[in-house]
Amino acid sequence: MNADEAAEALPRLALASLILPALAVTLLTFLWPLLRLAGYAFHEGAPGGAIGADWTLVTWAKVLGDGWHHRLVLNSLALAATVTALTLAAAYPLALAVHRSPPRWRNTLVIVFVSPLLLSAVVRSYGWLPILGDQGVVPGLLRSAGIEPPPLLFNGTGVVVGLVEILMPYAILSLLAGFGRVAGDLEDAAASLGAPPFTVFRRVILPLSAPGILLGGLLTFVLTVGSFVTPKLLGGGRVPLIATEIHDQAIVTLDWPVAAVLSLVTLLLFGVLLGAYGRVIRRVEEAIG
Amino acid sequence: MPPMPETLTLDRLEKRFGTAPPAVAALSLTVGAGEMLGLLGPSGCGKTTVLRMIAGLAAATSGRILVGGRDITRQPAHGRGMGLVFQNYALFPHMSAAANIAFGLQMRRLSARDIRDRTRRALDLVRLGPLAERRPKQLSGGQQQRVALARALVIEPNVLLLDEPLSNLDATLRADMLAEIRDLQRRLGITAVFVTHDQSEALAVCDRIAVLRGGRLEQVGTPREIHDRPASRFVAGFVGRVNQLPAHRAADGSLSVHGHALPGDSADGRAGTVQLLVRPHHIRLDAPATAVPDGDRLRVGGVLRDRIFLGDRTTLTVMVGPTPVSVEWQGSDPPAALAPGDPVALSWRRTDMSVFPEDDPP
Repeated sequence: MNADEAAEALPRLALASLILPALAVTLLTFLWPLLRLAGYAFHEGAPGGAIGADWTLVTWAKVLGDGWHHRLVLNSLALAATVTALTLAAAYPLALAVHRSPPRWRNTLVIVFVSPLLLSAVVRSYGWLPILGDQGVVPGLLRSAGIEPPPLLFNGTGVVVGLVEILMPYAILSLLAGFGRVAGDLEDAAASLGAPPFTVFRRVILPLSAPGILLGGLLTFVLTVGSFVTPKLLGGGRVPLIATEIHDQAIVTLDWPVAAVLSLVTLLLFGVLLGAYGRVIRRVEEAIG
Repeated sequence: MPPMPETLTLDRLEKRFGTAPPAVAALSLTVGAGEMLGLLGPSGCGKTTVLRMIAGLAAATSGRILVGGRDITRQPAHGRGMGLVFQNYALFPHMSAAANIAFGLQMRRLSARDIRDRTRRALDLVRLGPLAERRPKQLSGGQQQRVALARALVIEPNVLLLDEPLSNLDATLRADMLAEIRDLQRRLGITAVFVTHDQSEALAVCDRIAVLRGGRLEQVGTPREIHDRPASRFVAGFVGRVNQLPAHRAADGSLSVHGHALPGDSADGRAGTVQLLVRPHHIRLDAPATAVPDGDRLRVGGVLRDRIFLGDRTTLTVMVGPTPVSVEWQGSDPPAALAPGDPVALSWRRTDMSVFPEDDPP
């Protein structure tokens, strides 16, 4: 009896039981806290971090009816769109260079480009202070070029710059994962058929790398919406976002029900986003064969 | 109508990678207008590098490439107008068969109507009309190969370059495709370079064959010249099957093989150990008693060791001293009375034999 037959002989139930440990861990560490969170959302917060005993929709009405929270969501979406576009623009050429490099170089290059992940985002965010700060490197360079630098820190610009830098390794990795169809001989074929380099890029490389762009885009977008350390440090409290608001409500104001409602709204947002990504990626995969 | 075919000339073409010995060294070759030249050699001999330099996908270190007398050595690939067929076809996976073929025409900014008409004709040329809208992955290997061929031909290239185009097909398909490529190339009268490591492909379809070895040209000639009059032991061994018999050459040019004296060849060459090269199908095998003396033939004796029936022919192995010699017997059965262990007489025409000094490396 070989292994396949052995597997078939096992009752389905016995096979299903093999996933029980993983299922148990997931339930305990992910689903249970999530349900608790959902529970908080249907209570009312009381002063001093207490949570009301009654089940109520008051918190939902309060949060959803408040224009401030609408602005937070729009801010987060706008920031995520900007950061995603800039991160992809910065990461794409690097990822393409890694993909096209000879195999013996490729691993080394991947390690080089991903190594920033070894440093915490907190440290890397602080690193931008002496670079973008008023007396920092970039304003200094601008001044010596005769340009009065605009404020680059403690506003949207600083947050965008910091997030782009922090998210680039993720973008490069996911772009590389989606570059499987981009092959050198296709570029050679297009060139031999008369396509100049930019046309090769537009007609062959770009369409074939679409799965990588989509994956990298999704990841960057989601990570931006969820980020709060970098916006706090580089935004200086002047860039209100949904993630920073959740943090403040949970840690500073101690209004857990409000934090829970905002979290669930964000979760819903991600669900919609994932669904859209699934539909688009399926059509793209079909289109590029 | 396709344009008039043009000659392709390689003039002392050289490719070096770093300080290593050149991958292609001082290669000079001319491919006549409308001729199909085979670039034949083992893997790593530089044949694909030569093709990539012709196509403009690799830069020549030195030397020149001319098409119809025009120097194109410094022209980028997209300006050369060469039709290239890749070993793995390199079809664009995101485009239909028709769109793959139309790509080169779009690059030439033809009118939409011209593009449609010429794409349609190219599809018909390779008998893929009904599959025009299929994606490459919905096509079989042979169909993909024909799309690749149509894509390269539809742009009416100066030169058609084929890089091992058959190596990914199974044996029966390969023979069909070989005939189809040959037929198309002749019909369109296009100048072509066919890179292959398979000598039977090269012999079958090429007007002339250039044998490369370690980046150098070993011999160039018609398939028959290459096969029947190899310039070196390497060519003899690489093109077709060949027996190598060590022999001794005396000062007067006479040869001896394991005690059998053979009348000398023209007394050029030095005395010493030599290798006699004879192809299996050039050797006649007789029982010693029935062997008729023939002044034109060289004769040695041996002992039959083995016979293998292959349907349309029989391969026999005969030991001449310690050296096994294979003999190919075409058509009807060889004398049935001959059994392993029997003495036999081998003979071949003097003109079918090549003699190379021992120090000419195989």
